[in-house]
Amino acid sequence: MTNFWKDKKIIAYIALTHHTRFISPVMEKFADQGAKIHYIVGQAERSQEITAIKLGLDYSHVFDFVSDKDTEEIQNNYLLLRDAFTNNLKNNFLFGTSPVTVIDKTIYSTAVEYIGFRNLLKKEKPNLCLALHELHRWGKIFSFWSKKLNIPVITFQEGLYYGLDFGYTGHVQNSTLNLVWGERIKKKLADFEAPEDRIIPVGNTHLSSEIEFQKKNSIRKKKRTQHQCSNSFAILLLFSGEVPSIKELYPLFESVSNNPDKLLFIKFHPVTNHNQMEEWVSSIPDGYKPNIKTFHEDENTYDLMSLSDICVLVQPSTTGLEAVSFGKPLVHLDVKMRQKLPYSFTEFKVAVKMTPAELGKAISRNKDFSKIINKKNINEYLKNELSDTKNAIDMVTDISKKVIKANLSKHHKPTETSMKSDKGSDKEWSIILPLSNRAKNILKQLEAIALNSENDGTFEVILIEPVSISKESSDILDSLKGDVTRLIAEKGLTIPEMMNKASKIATGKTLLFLDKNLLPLPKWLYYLKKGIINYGKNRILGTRIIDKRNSIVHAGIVLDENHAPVSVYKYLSAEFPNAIKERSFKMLDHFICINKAFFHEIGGFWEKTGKFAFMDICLRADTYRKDKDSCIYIPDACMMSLNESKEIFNFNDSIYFFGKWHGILWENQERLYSTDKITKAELNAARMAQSMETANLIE
Amino acid sequence: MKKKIIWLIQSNQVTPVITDFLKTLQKRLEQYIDLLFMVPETSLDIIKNIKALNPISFQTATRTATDSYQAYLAKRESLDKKDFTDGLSFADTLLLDDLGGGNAQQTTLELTLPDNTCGLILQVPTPLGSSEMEERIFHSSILWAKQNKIPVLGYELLPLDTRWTLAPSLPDGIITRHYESYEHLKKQLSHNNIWLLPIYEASIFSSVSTSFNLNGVKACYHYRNEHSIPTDRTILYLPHNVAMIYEYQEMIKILQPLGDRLHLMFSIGKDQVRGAYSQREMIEITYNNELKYFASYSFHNMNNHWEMMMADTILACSACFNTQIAERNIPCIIFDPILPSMTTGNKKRVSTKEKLLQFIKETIELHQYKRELADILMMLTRIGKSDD
Repeated sequence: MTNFWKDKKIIAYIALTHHTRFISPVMEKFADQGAKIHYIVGQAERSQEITAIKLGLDYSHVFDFVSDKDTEEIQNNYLLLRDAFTNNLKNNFLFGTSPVTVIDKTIYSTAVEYIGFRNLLKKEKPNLCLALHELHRWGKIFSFWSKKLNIPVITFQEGLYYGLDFGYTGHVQNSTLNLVWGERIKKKLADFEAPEDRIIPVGNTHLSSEIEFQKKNSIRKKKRTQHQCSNSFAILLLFSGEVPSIKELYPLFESVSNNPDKLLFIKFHPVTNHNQMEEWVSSIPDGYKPNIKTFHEDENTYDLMSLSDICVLVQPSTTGLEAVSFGKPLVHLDVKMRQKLPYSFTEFKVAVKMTPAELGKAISRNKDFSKIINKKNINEYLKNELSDTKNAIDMVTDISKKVIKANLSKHHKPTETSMKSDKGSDKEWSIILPLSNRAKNILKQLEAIALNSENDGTFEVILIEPVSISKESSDILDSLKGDVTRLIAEKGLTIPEMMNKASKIATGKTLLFLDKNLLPLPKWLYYLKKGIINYGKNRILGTRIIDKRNSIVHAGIVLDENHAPVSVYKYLSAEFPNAIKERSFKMLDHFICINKAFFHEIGGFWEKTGKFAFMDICLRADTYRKDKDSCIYIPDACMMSLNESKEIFNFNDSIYFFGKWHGILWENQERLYSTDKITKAELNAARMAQSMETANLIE
Repeated sequence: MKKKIIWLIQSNQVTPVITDFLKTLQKRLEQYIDLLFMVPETSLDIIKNIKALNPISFQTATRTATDSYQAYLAKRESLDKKDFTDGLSFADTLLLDDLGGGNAQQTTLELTLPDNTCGLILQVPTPLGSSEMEERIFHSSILWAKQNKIPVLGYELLPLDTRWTLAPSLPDGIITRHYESYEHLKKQLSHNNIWLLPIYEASIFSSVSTSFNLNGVKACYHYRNEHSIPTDRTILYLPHNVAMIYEYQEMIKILQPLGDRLHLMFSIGKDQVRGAYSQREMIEITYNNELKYFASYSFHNMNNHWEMMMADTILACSACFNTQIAERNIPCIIFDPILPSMTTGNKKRVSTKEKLLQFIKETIELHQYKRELADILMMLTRIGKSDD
């Protein structure tokens, strides 16, 4: 058996040491399996080279990939940046958080990095790129060029993500996929703006092995001996970037100093400036010092966690989640902090909130902290934060392999027999529809087809029935008469595969593939026929799809700012003028009308595409025809969607679709808005109007 | 009513020599311009050092917003449709991390515009030398001036011929000290309001300027008036020595074709006599035919070295005491057909007529870019806003 990973090259961008812990275990796994791995760092105020040097990683600096030949391009980009900022800085304070010269240094480095990352990827041609995220410039540029060069890029999660939602805008913009720790993060990102289909919870890639390491190596015992606290009660106070006022902590210090068997360990966050820490530490009153030990980067946080009997936080922090995972009681110390963060361990019921005085008192009274939190709450919390605690690395490796495979897959072409039609074409139309499990919908759907398909050519209906079906649905289907064929979904076959099967027995010249729960509206076939006459047979036609509230579900697919497919003008009124323009789109969804011979020529649906089957075939049609505009949106042909609930997310669909089309899918929504001469304000007004229109509609 | 120009001074931007020079400038212009020296409260430590300038201090105020969605959206909007060459948006790339996301900070000058003010002068900060507060005040001052509709001129103290040109792109004009900076910014900025100071003024704006430079600039102001040397005339300083009277004559002959654009400063010494003739007489008699071709010339005591600062170039027939002193500040050309050509720093030795002429032509060309500070400030009074 050939080793998939042999000859595969993977490049990871890394920055700070404490963040690299999420990426390096994955990279090590790739290397163990035979892949060639390499790290890349950028130019930053906090040296990223030190991260690679300290961890002993094989790395390059992005500037290594810039030569004299690039001077002009760098200068062009620098001047574009500079002029954008000149105009701003001359007129407002918006960018006043950084001094002018810091902005200048940043934009110059950015211009160099912009070219450097491009050159790196062009030269190295990796099969996969990894970055923690694309919220900063290095991750963004790295993932942008990866996408431009059609190299899949996987991003991860930097920490607990306890900040405000808008602070994560663009987290999943150029990434092929974003692998996060748990469902909470997926929801947090997707609820704000991230493309839900590209976020896959896999668990934390670091924590489980760290916990195992700590246990296996008896770190608790060793560290307690080292810090002479074997018989003491050790309190670990973990700071975030913002350091609290020292005076507020005096009651805690007082308690610790009055109880010789208690020791307070304070760990400063890696981003805390060395001088700031020194100043803070030197201001601890001498009387308290004997029972307080402070650390910066000179001690490992996990070692300290193992050593401790209780962990205390002053602000939400990833270390809180880690402490809970380590099985440590967690206290949220109620002190004044400048930054208010919308995340609370106490609200998740995995920490107790205490003032320094309350904590001091509890320590003096030898309170049993192990009993302060309910185990069930902890389990529930961890389940939501970390979807997997054991196999995250394997899952990442497996997903990476699938993404690379999808990306390298050639365009699907039919084998001689696989897509050959079994039957001739004596009818005009073959209506092929996978059925849902809801009898009510099936009935409505079939009635709509019967009622609205007359007089526009002969047609047959091929139904794809779920493996198990309700009695009510079965009765409806048993009662059907006329030209109806029932195909029972075969176990192990996907819906696209079943639709291919249906196409082989279809007798219509034109195939009409419908998503579940779609009702054709009057004259749909008339307008589709007109479309075929106007545009020819080697095109794919789509329809306008509306919901029961008369809002648009589909009016052609565009790519939003995250390069994610969305229906244009979704949720606006079904009669919104720009949504009823007949025109070409890169992709269509939910329904396609396609000539049978053409469908078979391009290989039918590709079995792994799942919910992206319609969009995938649209993209393949362009590739096959070596032309654009294969897909035409016919708004006069209209359907109603009865879909109410979300489909179950199958991440394999996403892995295939986004892995394969990574380099093709680029934002085009803005261009369409500009063609339609519609402003954001007008769109917002139209959304508001439709939302008011439909607010009181009761089904 | 006299027009006013504000000269903003912050910590680390003055030395005793600069202060003394600014006082001279203030005096020199007092008939036409009220030069007001203003110091933000963040730089009060320098007030006592610049007392002679009668500085006026003013307050500043700083406001901040943390994690503001409105600030984030406003920033995003302001960078809308601003992209790299291949389409990556600046906002997507920089906003959340480098540009502080939803954090905002505003430092404002609590300063009412004095009546009849027509401009603001301030130092341009650079990435490798300025302090954070200095830079914040710089930006706030740009906005303050814009708000008050007066032009801002930035001047070079720290070198501006660097890859970073954002700060120099903010003022409406830039006064440079070095030709390199002038040339660089001419190419980099989108406007032509860039000026190059003459050497005697440029040399003042340096942390290592000395009384030599200060005396030099004062002498220059004096002699330019005394000899009525027009601003467009290039000045060459000849450290004449009677021991080389023939060589200097030969050299002057070579320069004759360019003479109508040149003023020659001859250095003369009391001891430089030959028989009954003083050095000055020897020059006037011996070079009588040649000097007719030159626009003007003057004689200077060889011991007043600072007077060399007036020259665009020192032109000698041999390396000498004067070239040694001058080469720290002024280009020195040594024309010596016997020795090989060489260049070290400001010192350039040439051995052919052609090369000599070429260098002098370049000096003349370079001179055309130079503008005295007073000229620039006077120009500001003509274009800047005022209440008149």
